[in-house]
Amino acid sequence: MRKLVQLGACLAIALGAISSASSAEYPAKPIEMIVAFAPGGGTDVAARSIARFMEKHLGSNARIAVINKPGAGGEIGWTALATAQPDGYTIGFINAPAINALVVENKAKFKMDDFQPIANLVYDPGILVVNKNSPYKTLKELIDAAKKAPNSVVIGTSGAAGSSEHIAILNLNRLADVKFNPAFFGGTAPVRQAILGNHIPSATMNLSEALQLVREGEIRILGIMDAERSSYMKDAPTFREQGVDLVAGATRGIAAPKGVPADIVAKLEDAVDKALNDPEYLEAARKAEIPLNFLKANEYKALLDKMTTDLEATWKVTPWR
Amino acid sequence: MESDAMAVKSALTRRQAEITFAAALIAAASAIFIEAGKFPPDSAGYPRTLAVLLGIGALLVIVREVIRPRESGVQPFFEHPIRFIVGFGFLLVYFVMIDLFGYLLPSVAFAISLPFVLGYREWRLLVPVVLGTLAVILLIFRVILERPLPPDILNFLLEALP
Amino acid sequence: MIDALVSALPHVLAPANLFAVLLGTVAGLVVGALPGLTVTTGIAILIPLTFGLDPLFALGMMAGMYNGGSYGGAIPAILMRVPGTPASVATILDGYEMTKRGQAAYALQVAVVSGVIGSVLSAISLILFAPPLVKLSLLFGPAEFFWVAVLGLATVSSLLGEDLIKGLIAALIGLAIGTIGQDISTGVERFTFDLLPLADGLDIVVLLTGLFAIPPVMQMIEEALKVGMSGDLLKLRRQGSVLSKWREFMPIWLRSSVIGIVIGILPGAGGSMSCFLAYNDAKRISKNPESFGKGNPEGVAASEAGNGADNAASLIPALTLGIPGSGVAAVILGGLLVHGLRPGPQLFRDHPDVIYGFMLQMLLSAFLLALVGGLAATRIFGQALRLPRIMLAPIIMLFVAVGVYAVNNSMFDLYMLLGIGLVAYVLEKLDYPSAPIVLGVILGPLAESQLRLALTISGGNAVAIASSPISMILIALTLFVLVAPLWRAWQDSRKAATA
Repeated sequence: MRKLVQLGACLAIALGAISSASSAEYPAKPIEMIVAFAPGGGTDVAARSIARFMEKHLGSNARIAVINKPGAGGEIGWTALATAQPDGYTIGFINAPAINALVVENKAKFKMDDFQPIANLVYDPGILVVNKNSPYKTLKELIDAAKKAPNSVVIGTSGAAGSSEHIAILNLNRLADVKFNPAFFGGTAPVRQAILGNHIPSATMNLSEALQLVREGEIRILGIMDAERSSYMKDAPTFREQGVDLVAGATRGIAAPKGVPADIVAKLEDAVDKALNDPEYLEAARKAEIPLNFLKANEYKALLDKMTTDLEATWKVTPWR
Repeated sequence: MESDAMAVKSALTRRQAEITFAAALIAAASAIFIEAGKFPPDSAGYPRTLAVLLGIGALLVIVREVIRPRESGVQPFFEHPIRFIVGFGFLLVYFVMIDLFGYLLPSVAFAISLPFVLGYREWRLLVPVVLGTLAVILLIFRVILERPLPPDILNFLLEALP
Repeated sequence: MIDALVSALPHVLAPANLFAVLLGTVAGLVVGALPGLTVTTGIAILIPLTFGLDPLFALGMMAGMYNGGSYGGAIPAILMRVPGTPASVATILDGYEMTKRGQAAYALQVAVVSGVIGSVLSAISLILFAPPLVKLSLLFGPAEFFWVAVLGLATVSSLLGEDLIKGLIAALIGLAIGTIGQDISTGVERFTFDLLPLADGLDIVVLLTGLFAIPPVMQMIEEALKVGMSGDLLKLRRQGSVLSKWREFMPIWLRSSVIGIVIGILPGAGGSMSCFLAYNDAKRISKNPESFGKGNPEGVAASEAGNGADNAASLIPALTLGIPGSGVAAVILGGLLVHGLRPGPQLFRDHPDVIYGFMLQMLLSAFLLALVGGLAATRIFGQALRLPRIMLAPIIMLFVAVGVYAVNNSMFDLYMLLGIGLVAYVLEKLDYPSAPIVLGVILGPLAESQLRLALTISGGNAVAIASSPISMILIALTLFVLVAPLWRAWQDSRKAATA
């Protein structure tokens, strides 16, 4: 038995040597794509969908295996990604600003510098919604109600305390000088249920999750937390238009551990770009109304840096933990 | 946990095991109560309530065992303490080996050696069943569903699979 | 609706789509029967592969997987006491006892027939009542969900076993385990000891496997029997047929299905709770409640009918509102989106062919389950029981090890499994029941978080939590569940005294 083990180990080392020698033909072996959430979640479905098209555009029979490492709000998977071999054979999905928040509050074992951003895929702005029967027609009415009775107007959020949605509510409180009371539902489905059943006066969610409900007239958007109006929902006003300069949203992008050779980063970046422009993928994304937002590695890095700086400023004023 | 340490003395009776376990529950309940002190009051109240109730329940079990008539106490806790220790040891070693060498070789070694140690000698049934089971597991987990296995020293073999 | 059904029917019966449902049902059976693999995982892996295919082909596979997988979990639960999902726990209580008595084939038969009946009734309710039922589910806010969780916890009274104190201790252990992990309303991590894998709490699959699968494995090792079960015990004809006793089972099937459908519509606790509620109900109306937990086929029937009835019903809020009633429904929702089918009333308006086709496929897969389910279970899985018990123990461990690792791809879970398994073995030897632990772990966090939410929303007003009509009904039901067994015991003792 021991001989067999040794033999196996030798063979493994030999094979490893062969594959690293031929980095010119990247990818020479399957690429692992770490997803920090469970199978079936939004990030997982996005990863599995794009992986197929990246394989096609990476060429040379590339294979990408999606590996779920869920838990601790993404921290487990992201730690694994940050500490993986920077050989281009481990990449992963990261979700800003959730990942930046972990770094800023000094909870995570990694820093943002431990990642080499490759490309951003999705930007989904946050929104504030009310039930169709709600007495509040505009953001101002809701804020006035909260000013009259501080801490009694509840905003439901799908996150936990310290999630990016919670941080957005804290920022709203600071910018509009009010005291909304966050209620943590811990998932998208329960908060949707609560707002549709009119059990809570208002809720935050991401725009793409609400489009259909808004079109059906079940809920109303009081404001989009973005610089500009969305092309999917042109008549919904932004917070900025209504005098509260709140910009918040969730992104999904691909990153590798720091130190991956530049030519491999370029190859991956290019594969994502081509995959996002693949007619078959575009068709599926359009049908599902995924808010695609391709950013190249350097633009993505700039976005991540800005989010970190903003969060550091927020943390100093209103720590979320 | 402590009951298996005591199992070495094969004389562990049912009554002793009951009391030891209930005492361990009280210890655990105390630990929960103390640990919860570190949380903000909102998060601490519920676990502390549970800890108190758990402690009371365990105390009742101990009291009941102590006042119970003698004859029920002499029943042994383990039927075969040696086999229990062997079995548990094998499981522990199996998992550590998976950690070190991956899933495949430790699984073969574990599934063949455990029955052997316990006195089973029908090789012609044992070996094919073990290898066949592993083949089915590989087929479903690795090939069809592409679920990753623990990092394996035989990884190069796995990568050769379609 | 009738028009839509009629026009959808030819698409559903197209050979390719029929094949998809069959394939999905078989795949679901396998995935559900293997510990560590769940229907959620199976469908998640399936979704990207269905790009560009006919939507009904993709949806047919999902429908098959859902129904197949939900019964698949019962197979290892009954044969080896390995629960695939929390939903199988109530099935274990009597199913595994029947296996021990040599009635494995009969237990599987009861399970498959009950599961099929539950699934069929559920699919019919989905087709007939989707829009009106969804209004019912919207009446449930955090306060009402809190009372649902309390009602679920009250059913613990039927799982306590003979030793009341030990049963309650087990429930408390479960509730305590349920507090592990991040408290979402304060962000504090409780009892995680800075271990990242514990931040979301103890994984339920790891816990279930540790609690239920390790003790019988250790028992087999301690006994070291060199023979297996006789092949005769797996032959169906000798053990009688469920269908010939349909009169006895019918009330249980109907009541359990209604429970499953109602719980299925409510997002939250999902399948696991409908099983426990159905089990509790069957035990309550039974003439011999004390035979439950000792191999009463009615326990298996109640649990599996409740489980099957949960499936299609959980799609009602998912299809009409985009609120998934269960984890699996959430993934199916993702699959619909990939095909450009956005949930909502317009789905029924714009794509009636597809959506009614999908509902028909849920119905169809339930019937297919009856064909392949019993066959696969007894012919293939059942054969494992004929292995010498001493060999079966390590074989079960091979599946458990790979399955538990696959849940989170983490070695931590395997070591955790061993620790839980050891404690579970001691618990079992000392006659502490395991089912209340599971109920506590599942419902404790739900009750705590919903109560906090309800209090946040009402501004700390405790009375408001019990003020809605639904809350009152739920409170009344809870009291009924708790008091009924006591009332009965009191009457029995009075009868005994007068006799």
